Amino acid sequence: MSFLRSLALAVGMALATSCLAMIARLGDSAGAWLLPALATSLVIALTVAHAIGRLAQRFPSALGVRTYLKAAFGNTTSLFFVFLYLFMITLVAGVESKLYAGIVQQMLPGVPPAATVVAVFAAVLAFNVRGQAFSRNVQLALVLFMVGGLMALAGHAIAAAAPGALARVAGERPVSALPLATIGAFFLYVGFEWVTSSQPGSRQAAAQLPRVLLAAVAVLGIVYLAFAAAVLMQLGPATLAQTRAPQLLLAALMWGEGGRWLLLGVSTAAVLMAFNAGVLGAARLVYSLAREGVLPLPLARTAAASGAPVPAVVCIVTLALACSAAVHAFDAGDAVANTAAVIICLCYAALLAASLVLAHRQPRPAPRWAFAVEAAALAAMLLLLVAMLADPAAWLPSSMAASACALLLLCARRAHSRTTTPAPAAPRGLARIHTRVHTEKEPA
Amino acid sequence: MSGLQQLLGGFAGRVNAQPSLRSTLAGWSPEFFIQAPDSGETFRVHFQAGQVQDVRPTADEPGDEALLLRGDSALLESVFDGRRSPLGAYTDGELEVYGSPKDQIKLDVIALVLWGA
Repeated sequence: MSFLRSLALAVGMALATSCLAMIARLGDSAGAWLLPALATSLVIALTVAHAIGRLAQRFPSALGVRTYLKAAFGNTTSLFFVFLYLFMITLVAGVESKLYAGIVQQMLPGVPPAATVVAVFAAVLAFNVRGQAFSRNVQLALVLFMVGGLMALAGHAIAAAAPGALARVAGERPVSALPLATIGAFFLYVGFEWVTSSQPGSRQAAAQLPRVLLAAVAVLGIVYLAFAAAVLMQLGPATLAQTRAPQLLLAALMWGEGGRWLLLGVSTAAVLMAFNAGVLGAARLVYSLAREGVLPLPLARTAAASGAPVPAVVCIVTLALACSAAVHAFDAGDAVANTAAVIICLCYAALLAASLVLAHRQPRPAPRWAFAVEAAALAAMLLLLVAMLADPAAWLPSSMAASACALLLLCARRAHSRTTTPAPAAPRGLARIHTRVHTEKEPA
Repeated sequence: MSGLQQLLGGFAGRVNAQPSLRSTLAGWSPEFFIQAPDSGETFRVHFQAGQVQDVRPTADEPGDEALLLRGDSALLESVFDGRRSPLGAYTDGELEVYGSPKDQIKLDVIALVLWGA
């Protein structure tokens, strides 16, 4: 069961409604070449998952990216990337909420987008303040519903397609679309590594993390390939160009109006599970940074009854809500999504480099090919970054990402000096907060 | 009696000397183990009524749901004699902590009160 719960976190963080919108966009530009693009990017994602799995094996109960990068590159670099990750989580929440509000409006035109977004964040807040065990169970239920719903729809659509449907689509777009589609498809997998930042709990769950990461990427690959094949066969690239919610179109075609409502439920599950997974991991990082004295100390308070880091959860949800409001206000969904893509490339490059550095510094038994494959994946990640930065259309998001990096680097340097300077007064204050909370609320 | 066992005895005394912890830990009786795989030592810390009742070496392997603190014996000694912050050792990935989130939070409170970090 612990394997399934961790798998649900890893899959849920990656498989959001924006992924289905991206499949529609890639299907429009690459046609049937999207399928080999998805398969190629699956291999790259598996390599990244393997590298992060090796880090998780080395530091089984650790704080994910915080520990991995601290061990490899020191405190400042680690803090910088943790800040970058937290920033990216809020950006993704903004993009995802905008897209979901648009989907709800298609089905329920009377519901204002702001109400949809606030309702989603309120639900995620409610899951997480009840404690990790509760939110992990909710996560598992949501992922099973989401993956089950999508696979049922895709399976039905593929089975009902006319013979040779895919072959007919194959000629509609040139093979030259394949490289760009592969780059785009890689971003469909990102987020699976977030499970390493949430608390594994038992030794068994911690030991399972490397396999969970690989299994999560495999599940994502199967779902994306099946869904992409289904929409290409039933809708075709031209129709995909006109939608950002291909799941609703396909459901309407296969199952009628009832299917559209069912897929609205699946989309709701997707957005809730992505936000829930994001908040679970991010709250743990915020709590730990506050415990270290890097962030304000009240963020390290916990609820006595559930042990949930409530102020950290509220902080993350509030930041995500603010980002969501900004994305809506400035209609900046694409620019923010591209900024997040540049940031995730940087983070993956750092994690791959950390795995290589630690393998070199403190060798452990590993297959011979592991080092070479991870080095190749690091080179691929850097190439991806260069390709994104070289695209004139991406200069705005690249500048936004660079500005964020510069600002967060300054924050990391200040935070590092705070953690290395002894400050006995602050932790004692926190100790008082902690003991007061637990003394007041815990039944004697 | 090993050096680590002596230090754990001192840890028990420090926990019991903190009046604020007594109410915080009241009703908390986890299966709490401390393990040093390199020296083959495992200790069971028995909590009752907000106090550490005893710390004993044990041959039992901690269950998967147990609260477990695991690290090299030298690291555990440096943590329990106060030279090393448990939070720092955990963030560095040297000290492993397993258990339910609620139990881990209680352990964190003890670390805050005794170590200040």
